[in-house]
Amino acid sequence: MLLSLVMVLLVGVAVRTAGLAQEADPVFRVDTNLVVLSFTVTDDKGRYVNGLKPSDFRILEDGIVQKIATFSEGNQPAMRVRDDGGLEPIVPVRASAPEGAAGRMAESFADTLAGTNVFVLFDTSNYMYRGFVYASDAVADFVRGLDDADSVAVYTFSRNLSRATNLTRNRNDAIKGLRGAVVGDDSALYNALLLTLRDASKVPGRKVVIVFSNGPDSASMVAPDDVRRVAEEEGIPLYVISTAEANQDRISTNVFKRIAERTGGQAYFARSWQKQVEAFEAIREDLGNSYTITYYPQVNTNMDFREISVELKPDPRGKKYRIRARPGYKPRPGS
Amino acid sequence: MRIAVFVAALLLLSLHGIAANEVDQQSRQLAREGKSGMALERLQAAVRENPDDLDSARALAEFLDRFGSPARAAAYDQYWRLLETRGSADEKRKVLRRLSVLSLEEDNRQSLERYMQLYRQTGAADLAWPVTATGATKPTYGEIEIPGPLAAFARMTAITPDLDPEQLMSALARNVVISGFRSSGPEGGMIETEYLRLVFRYLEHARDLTKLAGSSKVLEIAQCETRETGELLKILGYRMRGGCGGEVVLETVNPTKAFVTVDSGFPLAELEEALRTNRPFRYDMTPTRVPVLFGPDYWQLKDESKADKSPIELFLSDPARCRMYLSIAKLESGAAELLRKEVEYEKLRAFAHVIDFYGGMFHVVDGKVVTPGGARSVSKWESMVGGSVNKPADFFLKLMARDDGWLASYYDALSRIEGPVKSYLTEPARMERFYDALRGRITSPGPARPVFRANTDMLIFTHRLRLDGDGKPHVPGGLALWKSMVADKKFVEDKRLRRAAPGWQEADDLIAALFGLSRSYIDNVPLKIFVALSEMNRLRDKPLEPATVSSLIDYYPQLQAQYSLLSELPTLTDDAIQLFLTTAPQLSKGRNEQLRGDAVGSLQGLLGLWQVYVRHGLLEGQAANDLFLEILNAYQNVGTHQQLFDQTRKCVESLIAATGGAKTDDPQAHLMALLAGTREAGDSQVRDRQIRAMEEVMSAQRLMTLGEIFTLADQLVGAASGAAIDTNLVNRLTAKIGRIQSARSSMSTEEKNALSFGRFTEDHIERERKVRLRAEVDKNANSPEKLLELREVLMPHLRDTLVGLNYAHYAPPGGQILLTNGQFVRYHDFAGLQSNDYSWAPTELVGVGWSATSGGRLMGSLSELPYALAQAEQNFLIPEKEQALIWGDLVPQMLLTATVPRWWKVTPVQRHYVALLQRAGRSLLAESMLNSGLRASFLGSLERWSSPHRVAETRLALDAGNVRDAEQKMMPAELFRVAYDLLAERADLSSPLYDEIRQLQRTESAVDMAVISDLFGTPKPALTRSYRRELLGLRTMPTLMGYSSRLMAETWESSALYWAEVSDRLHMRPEELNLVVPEWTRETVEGIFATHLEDWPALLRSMRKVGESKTTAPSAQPMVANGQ
Repeated sequence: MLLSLVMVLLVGVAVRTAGLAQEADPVFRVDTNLVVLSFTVTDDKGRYVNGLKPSDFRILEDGIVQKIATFSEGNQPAMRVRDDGGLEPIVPVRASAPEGAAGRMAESFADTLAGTNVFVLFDTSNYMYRGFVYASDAVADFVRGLDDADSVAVYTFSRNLSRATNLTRNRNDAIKGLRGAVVGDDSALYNALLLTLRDASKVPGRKVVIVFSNGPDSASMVAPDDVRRVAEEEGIPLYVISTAEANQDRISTNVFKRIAERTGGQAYFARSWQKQVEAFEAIREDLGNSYTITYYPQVNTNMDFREISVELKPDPRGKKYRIRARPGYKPRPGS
Repeated sequence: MRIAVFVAALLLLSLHGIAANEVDQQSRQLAREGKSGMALERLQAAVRENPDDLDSARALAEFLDRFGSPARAAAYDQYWRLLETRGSADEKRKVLRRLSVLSLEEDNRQSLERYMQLYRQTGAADLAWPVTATGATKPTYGEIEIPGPLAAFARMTAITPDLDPEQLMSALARNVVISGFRSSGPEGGMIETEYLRLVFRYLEHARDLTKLAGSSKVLEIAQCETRETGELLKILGYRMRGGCGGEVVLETVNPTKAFVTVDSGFPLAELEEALRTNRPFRYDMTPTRVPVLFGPDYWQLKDESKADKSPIELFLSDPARCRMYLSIAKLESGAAELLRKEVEYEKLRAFAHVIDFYGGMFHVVDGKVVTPGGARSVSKWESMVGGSVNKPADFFLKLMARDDGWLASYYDALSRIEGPVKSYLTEPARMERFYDALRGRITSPGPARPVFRANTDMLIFTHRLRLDGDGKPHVPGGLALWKSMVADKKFVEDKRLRRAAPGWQEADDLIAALFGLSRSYIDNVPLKIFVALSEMNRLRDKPLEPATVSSLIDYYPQLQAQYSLLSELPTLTDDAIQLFLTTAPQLSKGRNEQLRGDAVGSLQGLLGLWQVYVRHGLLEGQAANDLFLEILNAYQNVGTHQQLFDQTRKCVESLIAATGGAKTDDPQAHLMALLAGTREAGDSQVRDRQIRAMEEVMSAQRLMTLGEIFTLADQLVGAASGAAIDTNLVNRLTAKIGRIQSARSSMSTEEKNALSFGRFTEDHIERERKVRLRAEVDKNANSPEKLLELREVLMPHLRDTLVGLNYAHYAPPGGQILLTNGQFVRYHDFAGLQSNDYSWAPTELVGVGWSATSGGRLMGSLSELPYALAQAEQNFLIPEKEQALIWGDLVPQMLLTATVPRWWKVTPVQRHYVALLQRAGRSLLAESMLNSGLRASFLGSLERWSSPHRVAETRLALDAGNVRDAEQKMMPAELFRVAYDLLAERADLSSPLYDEIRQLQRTESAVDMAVISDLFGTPKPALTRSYRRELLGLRTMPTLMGYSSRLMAETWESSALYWAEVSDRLHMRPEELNLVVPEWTRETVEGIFATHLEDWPALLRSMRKVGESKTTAPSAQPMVANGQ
């Protein structure tokens, strides 16, 4: 207990002093209330805008300007942001998680921010029966194509969730789990999505959930918006690939669009195998073209949902950009 | 760590000069106080201190034996080594005997032979090894071949791979019968379902792969670029994308074939990896040989006219054959063998459905049928059946053929019960009379025709009938009441019965009528009422007065679900019951829908809390009765929300006062602390964790606390008199109300239109949301009357909080819904569907599947809240393996047995006693292999608690000397029961375990069976209409119409007993059961891999796996500090 208390104190001051010390090897420690925020910037034609710098952004939480701690683009390693806005590499130091922060790991900072933790949730209910094998191929292709730094978990669901493969960087393991999936009966999409989010929320760093389903839900106890709320509070973007036509089931379409957009993700409607592959490719591109920043929240008494906004300095040429980010998060008790 | 060293040093120091006997006595005393871990440390220290001391070594060995430690045999061996040179002959004999039995229990044959030899050398001759077989009939098996590996076939046929090979065909047969065929339409005929089509497709696929594998039966792909690779991929339905090498990817080319490849678990990823790395790939396609009862010829699985079909395909394509296989496999092996020998296949096949449902209790001993009722009933059975018990095959055939299954169902029901009721029902004249009533005039369709057994209520009736002291059936309220009831058209449709009822003279007349009514699943209300009211009286100290029974009969249609509430307190007066029966319907009649919902909800919330406190002994006797009356009286003539608020608050205050709270206590904290199930916990860690879990639920549901509601109400009253109002509080509550979200808020118009809510639940939530508390307070600051009226806006919140406390108490382990859907409690729909009043109906789960609702919610009363919540949460459990098929009705009951009971009253001695009996049962099982006389006693006792089929299986395992197999077949509840019986019957049995049990029985009234039943039993709300814990010792019930596997789950009494044994082994304190039972139950459920609805062995396997994982884990220790 004494040891962890020392570590907590150390963690508490580390970020603030690191910048001042200007050590030869700057030290960075990770605390459990660190906020990880990923977002994409696109131009008016929907093309990704790359090469922006930390000083191009202003991050606000409930209107309070935040100090960016680290910055990275795509799958490049995270860099510490100096007070002058410059970047420098991070020297990782392992810190202990404070007691009571069950399930939340404080790992080396480099590990924490390396790549994305991708949770693929694959619908194996009766509703997917016909396209099951093609869908499985598309998911396998997606898993193979992920960046080396990314970790992937493959979950499947029908009436219950099944953890086919836990989070791993080993692509073969992930594909083995995927290929071992069994086709089930009822579909409890939103129950399964909730459980996936609960698992994802225990993992530090950047994470996304990708749902691959054709929409109908015959067995869930929770409603889509309850699940969406959890995703928002945990700050986990949801990507949805529906194997149904967008106009086939308008309610599903609305729900998919809403839960994806409100969490900073995207919804794709891809009935054919080719479209599914393209959707996965788009998600991979999204992940590869995202900016990821971290910050320690400034003092804020709001312990409920905190709104995040990302602002970009006006472009001197007057170009308009669109930023897609999650709308906020809910701080954990004790953070 | 340093503290532990210090304690150990102190212990060592304190041991100097203490005699071994003293240490033994001390350790026993410590164990009695629940400090068995410390007791063990002392004994171990004593042995370390004096390694040559006989008494210390004996005390340690016996202690480890009593606590089921894996180290017990080694400790006895150590003791034996000391004893060898200097012990008495008697002592040597005893320890060698124990070592022999333990060696067998642990299946250590080498040790067994060594100790047996030494034991014989002492001159003892009561144990023999190898086992002397009893000559029981062994079932004969032949074999058929299934192409490919068993794992793939099991996946495709949805069969658990954990099954014994002999059970595979019957599991398959059951799946074919249940899921293999469906009606083709109005014209009749059966067609294959997709399930069976896929199985056939798999068999073809497996044959193709086997052919490709060639004579070695092993698929071998040496490298990527070979002809075999192409052929294999063609069969699998895949092709390579990209050339051989690092880029190769397998992709679907034939979806039909590819589906079978994936669904059967073919190692596609491994193949892909092998091709990518150009390494060899190997897959064994050796056919699986599967045992077939009586061999394939008997089942006509070699049909030359269908040469293209393999035996397995012939089997799968004939549902009638599968039904027969399934039914014969359920029979006791002796009875099955006789039927095979003496009845033609086709003749037997015609009765497969009857054997399937009612053959499980067929029992043959020494060539004679053992009929229910013993010797005095034999001739009556023979006359009813028309066959002799000396010709079992003929007897059983006639029993089945007599009336399309009615007589067989009667035989089955009477075979399943024991004790005085069985004697009463099998009195020959009575037995025939009741059968005639059951059989009726029209026998078709028989009870075995539907998918489930049809006459469920007869089985419940025979199991739950009670006799009074004079040996006659107990008739609640007296016969006169039932005569008029059965004569009433409102209750009975059958004119003949209505006409006969007024002439009844005795209880038997009524019982005969009830047997007649049990034929119908629906039109048997009098039977259902009779059973329900008998149960109420069974639990009561004083039987219900006729007038009360009459009212209960009248209100049964509307209030039946509430009778378990009225049974909770055995001393609840007739006046109190009558007041409930008049108050409840009155509340449902109110015109103001919102007021009605709030009144019904808050009253049920209050009575739900009352019920919990009574159940856990926090409210008792007169005080409990008075409070019940006070609550009901408070709800008389409530006309406005203000009145309702004031009365409900008064009731809450009374509840607090009656449970020992003070006016100054925080009301919610007081009530919630008691919901943990105890007033004072010795060590509060366990209780604190329970309370935290409930607080988490209340917080997630964003419910106002009782304290906030009452304080605000007081402030409004104060403000009306001119006092200042606490604006901070008002602001806080305003913010809290503001966070109540509407499910509709983020939806599109289309979604809103498609959604359906409860009749009034949405209004209820909107009413709460729309209140602008701060604005209202400010606006009415100068109007005392308005400020007082403002209290009415607090009523919906008060209702929700009271209901929420009930939800929090029953929240199942690992629950998600209560933590995720912040409106779940508020959405409780007391009104229900249009045109029906659900206010007092059983709790139902509705709205599952998002497209029709805003998420699931509960509807009806709170009467079945524990079960409904468990239903809601069960699909959030994550199975370890593929989908468990017996989820539906079994899991909620399993969860209920973990959420309803609390374990605060269990003493270390009681928990240890329950554990000892199970350990003694295992020991007796092993010992019975070494002693044929004991084996006969053991099996004789087992017959009272188990089916003939399972007794026969156990006998065969014991005969074969297969102790592991025999033990795996026994449920913990059976081990417990058999040990209890045998130790009472056989005074000659002796061992440290048996002696300890007898010692406790002599000296401790707390281990009386009635007390143990009350502490370690399971609630059986469907069977006994009560949440009271009981050990009934019934044979596990089958699936039944209207209940599915719920009654099977209720008659499963092993869980609590087993968890007690595991926790005793781990030296936990009994109160820790409050934490571990829900957790271990959840793990058990997640580990179940069952094949069908009656697959309780899958439950047993999973439960034992969890138990073993706890006791073998390196960190196996109490969850909270042990106070040592």
